[in-house]
Amino acid sequence: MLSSQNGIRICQIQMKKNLSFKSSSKNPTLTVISDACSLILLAKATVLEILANEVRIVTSPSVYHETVIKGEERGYPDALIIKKLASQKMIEIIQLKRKRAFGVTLGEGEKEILALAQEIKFDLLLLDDKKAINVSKSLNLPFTISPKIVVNLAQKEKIGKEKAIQALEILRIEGRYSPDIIAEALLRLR
Amino acid sequence: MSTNTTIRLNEEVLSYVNQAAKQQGLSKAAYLKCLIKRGIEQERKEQALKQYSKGEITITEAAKHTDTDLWTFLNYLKEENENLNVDLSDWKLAKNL
Repeated sequence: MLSSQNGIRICQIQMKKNLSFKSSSKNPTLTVISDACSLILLAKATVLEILANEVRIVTSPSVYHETVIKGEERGYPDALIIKKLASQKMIEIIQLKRKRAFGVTLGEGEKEILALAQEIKFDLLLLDDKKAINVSKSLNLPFTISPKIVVNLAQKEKIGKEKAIQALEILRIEGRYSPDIIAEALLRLR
Repeated sequence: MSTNTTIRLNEEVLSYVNQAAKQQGLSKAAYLKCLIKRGIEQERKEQALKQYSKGEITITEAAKHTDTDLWTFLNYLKEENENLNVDLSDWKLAKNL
């Protein structure tokens, strides 16, 4: 009897969890720390806003400067997408508590987001740079890359297959992603 | 501050420099300075691209080495028909959302 009541309680809790998950499309537990290149590439691929609706995107002041301030100075319209999302707090800019060294030279933005990964709770680092990925691997920090984000958004039905194909094409042409990776990503969409 | 330096040029190069300087209404020295400056800029871009492609520097470091920004460096990759340095091994290890 007792175990049956417990079973019902567990079932009720599970139902509540399912309901609360369905009521909000955003997964509040998932935090993604993004580098500058990934923000630019996903903005160009027109999926950054969709990602920002799904997860908590966090980045650093240097990344904001590189993507928004410099992008605006140079007249890149995609910089305005990042700016808008940051102003709406859909991209959070977090100031580092202290600087860290990683034993290799890195750009300011990469240094800051890798340091941020050691200061805050997060789920994934979003990186589109080999050297930063290598540092992430050496520190056992989980990472992902922009084409995988596009595939994941399609798999979770947050974007349609056509939109995903278009986004991957933009990542190949404008984002300079290697055709090998784009081919793998397209295979995953089938 | 600028200092003097001397270089020896062969006849063919010197003849070209004289002719091009005249066409552009510049002194030989001014034209040579201009050529050297452009050559250095190009060399820095090529070196940054080479180091970036090998994964020796990050994309923002590469942009800094070329006195530009990330947006412009991405355009430079496109102009040079070069790819990002992320490869298939990174794709395989990249986690899902």
